[in-house]
Amino acid sequence: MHTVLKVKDVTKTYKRQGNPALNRVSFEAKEGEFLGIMGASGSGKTTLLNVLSTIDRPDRGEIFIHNINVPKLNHAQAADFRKRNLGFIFQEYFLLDSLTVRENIAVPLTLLHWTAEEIERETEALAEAFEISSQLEKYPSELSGGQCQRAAAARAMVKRPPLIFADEPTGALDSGSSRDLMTALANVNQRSGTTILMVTHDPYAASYTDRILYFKDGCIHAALERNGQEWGDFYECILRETARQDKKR
Amino acid sequence: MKVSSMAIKNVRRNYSFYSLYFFSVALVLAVFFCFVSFSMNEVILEKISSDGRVETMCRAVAVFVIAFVVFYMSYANQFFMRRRMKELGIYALLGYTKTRMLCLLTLENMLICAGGICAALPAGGLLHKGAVWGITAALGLAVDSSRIPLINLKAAAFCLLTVLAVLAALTLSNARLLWRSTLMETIRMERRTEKPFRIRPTAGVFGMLLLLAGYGLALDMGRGKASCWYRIGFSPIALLTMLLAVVGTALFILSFLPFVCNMFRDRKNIFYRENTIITVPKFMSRLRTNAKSLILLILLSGGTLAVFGATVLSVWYPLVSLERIIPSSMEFRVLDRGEKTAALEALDKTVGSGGYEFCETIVRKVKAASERLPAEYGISADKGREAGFECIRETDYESLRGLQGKKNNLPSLRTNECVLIKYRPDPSKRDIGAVYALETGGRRTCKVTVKDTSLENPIGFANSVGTLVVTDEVFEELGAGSAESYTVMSIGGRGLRTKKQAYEALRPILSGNPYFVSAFQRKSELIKLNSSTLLLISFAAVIFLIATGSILYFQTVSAAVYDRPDYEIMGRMGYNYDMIKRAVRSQVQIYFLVPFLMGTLHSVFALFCYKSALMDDLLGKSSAVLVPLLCAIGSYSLIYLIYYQVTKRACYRIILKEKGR
Repeated sequence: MHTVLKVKDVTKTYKRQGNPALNRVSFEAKEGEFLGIMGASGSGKTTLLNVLSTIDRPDRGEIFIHNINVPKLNHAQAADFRKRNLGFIFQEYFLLDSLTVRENIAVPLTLLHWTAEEIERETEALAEAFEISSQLEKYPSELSGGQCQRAAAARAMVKRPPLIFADEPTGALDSGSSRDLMTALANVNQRSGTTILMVTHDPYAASYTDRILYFKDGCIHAALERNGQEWGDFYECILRETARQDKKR
Repeated sequence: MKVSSMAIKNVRRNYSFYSLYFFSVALVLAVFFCFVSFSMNEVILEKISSDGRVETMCRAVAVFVIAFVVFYMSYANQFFMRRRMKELGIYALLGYTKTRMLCLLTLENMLICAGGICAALPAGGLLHKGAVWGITAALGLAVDSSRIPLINLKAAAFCLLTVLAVLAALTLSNARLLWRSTLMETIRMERRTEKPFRIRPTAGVFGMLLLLAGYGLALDMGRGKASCWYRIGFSPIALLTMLLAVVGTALFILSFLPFVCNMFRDRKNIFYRENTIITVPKFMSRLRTNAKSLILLILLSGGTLAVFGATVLSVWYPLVSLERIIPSSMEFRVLDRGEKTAALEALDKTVGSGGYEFCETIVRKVKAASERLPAEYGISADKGREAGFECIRETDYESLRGLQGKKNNLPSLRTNECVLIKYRPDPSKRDIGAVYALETGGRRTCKVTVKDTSLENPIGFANSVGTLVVTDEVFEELGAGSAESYTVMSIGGRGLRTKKQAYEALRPILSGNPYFVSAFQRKSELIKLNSSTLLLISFAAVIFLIATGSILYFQTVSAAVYDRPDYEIMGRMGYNYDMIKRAVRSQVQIYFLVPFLMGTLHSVFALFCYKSALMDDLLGKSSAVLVPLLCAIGSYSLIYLIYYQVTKRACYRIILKEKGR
């Protein structure tokens, strides 16, 4: 499997803060990998996500996504790159209120100028994969939190991007909804081979990933790999590692 | 923390939030102060009003202006209250009593109004000075500007009192809102929830039909006496038309537009485009939340435009008609040969013998018999004189037209043919072919057939209405009888229509001649009579158009603030700055375009109806309403264009600011 994401010595310091938010961070993600990023608040997770997703620029270092050095892209190129290559899932869903679920999922495809038939076909396929087919004509305000997040995940995946960034996707969900979402996300990940990079505090959500990077003070402090472990065993591992990290803090 | 220091801190730290409120209040107060200063400006009023008419109009317009200030400030206050409900909820959770919150709001309002007044007085004073300068220049008045202060203290005191009264009203309204809302409602009031739009195609189509019916009734007025306005009655049809327009507009906004948008939404080939998929649903969403305001704005702008257009029409139409009413520069009936000689000598002295031309025309008043006598035959009788045709020679007609610098557009006549000069236009030309037996004396008659009709009377209405152009032979034959005849002296020449000196040279000589008319004198009189009315109505119209623009601005900017997270997520999905700008622009455009187009359409039909109903049709051109209409729509478009640009830029700032642009 080839490398989709390559992060090399990335450093980012905000003007108002003395310490770097990211300090010489380097790692790689393979095609189809489900990568988790964990760490305490202020450890640099969200900064990493912003920098990787071209929303922000690093001060130093290189980020290659499909061999394109993304910090070098200008605004228009970055927008075009996001349009074609990246998908986003957020804790607050960020569905567009005035659009129905169907329309929300269709938006990324309209940007790629797909035909109406293709958009309809893909929208319905993704809605089925995330079990929201019956909610397609509803507005986000008529859905539960879990349904909203699955709609947001469908929107992120509909254009089949090589890389998806998920920022605390289960942060606002109850345990049942979290399980449904993570199961759907993992299934789509396995079926489509999309690489997912997920920032989370939730060990349960993290247990669906293949590998976890622990962040502390802007650096990768530890890493945990599934290495073929069953879900339960990996979950136990994560809990132990998380507790160890908390103790160190 | 004291409420007063909290209010000051709130205003200082949330400058961008309060500046919107502050500037709109300052703008409204500046316009208000300008108006009050004008109505209290004795220097200018004594020049333009001799009979107290302008003062009365000022008082009438003042009612509307004050109503507008109250309405506008209440609207702005309510708008900001709603945007602050969550904040007020937090105060309540922290233990603030409602009285304390009301004190805070009132203090903030007082701070903003005080700032607004401070900015409005000099700005309004300058506006007033500008208005005075415009009036004096337009009317050619000599006014001692040093007697007009920049800030009229009486006007300032009146403005202050009005603002205090408005503040009291706002406090009461805020108190009502605070005491009626529960804590839960206060916290949740800001949250928007999107619900499925109930599409009602039947109501939409019905609304459209009502609108069309209203427009149809307005157009029907053009049929004159055959219209249902005359047959059924003016008042009931006027009420019905108004009702159709109001209900039609309401249904158009509530049902027809959503229906059309939904049709777009269903046509996926059109809808699935990067801009359309965002713009149409957002517009539908705004239609639901702001439908009532939109309906109000359409009716307000339509009404304002119609009143403004009608006023411009009332001023403009008589000025254009002057070309028909007094076709020569000056004209008088020769009652006394000495008077005529004195007049020509006076002209020689004033403009020189080469500066004018004159033409004497003999007019013969002749009785006639016919089965098809035109209305013009009896016009004189309506005014207490004898009925009859006022006949002139064909050659005199040609000479007069030459004097007036116009082409002779009459067909050449055979002996027993004539041309009837109509008072009102008759597109059907039904008088053609009519045979009149003109009395030539004794029992003899001379029969003439109408070959053509025309509106181009070369003699003014003061000296001849119901003019018949006959051949020179027939004219001589008429002279053989006992027909009453008189001579009309027409004076023309390059630039003489606007030459004050020429008129003033003849005025003392012809002061006793009731048939003396001057284009210059009539034009000056019309301008003097109508300009104050036009000015005041224009003033009120501009104020109302500013109100509609400001309301649209508030609503659009507010929507942009709410939608900012949506645009952020769109940016992450791959919408670049230009695409986001386009989406923002489209939404502002649609939202401004709906009241603009509907208001314009309403006013066009209202103006057509007004012109057909109340104005004497002298020109016979439906294009006569074009200039006033363009003038009204031009002012409206200009104000809207300014608001559109300001609103668009404000939205760009709100939505794109945090992205470093």
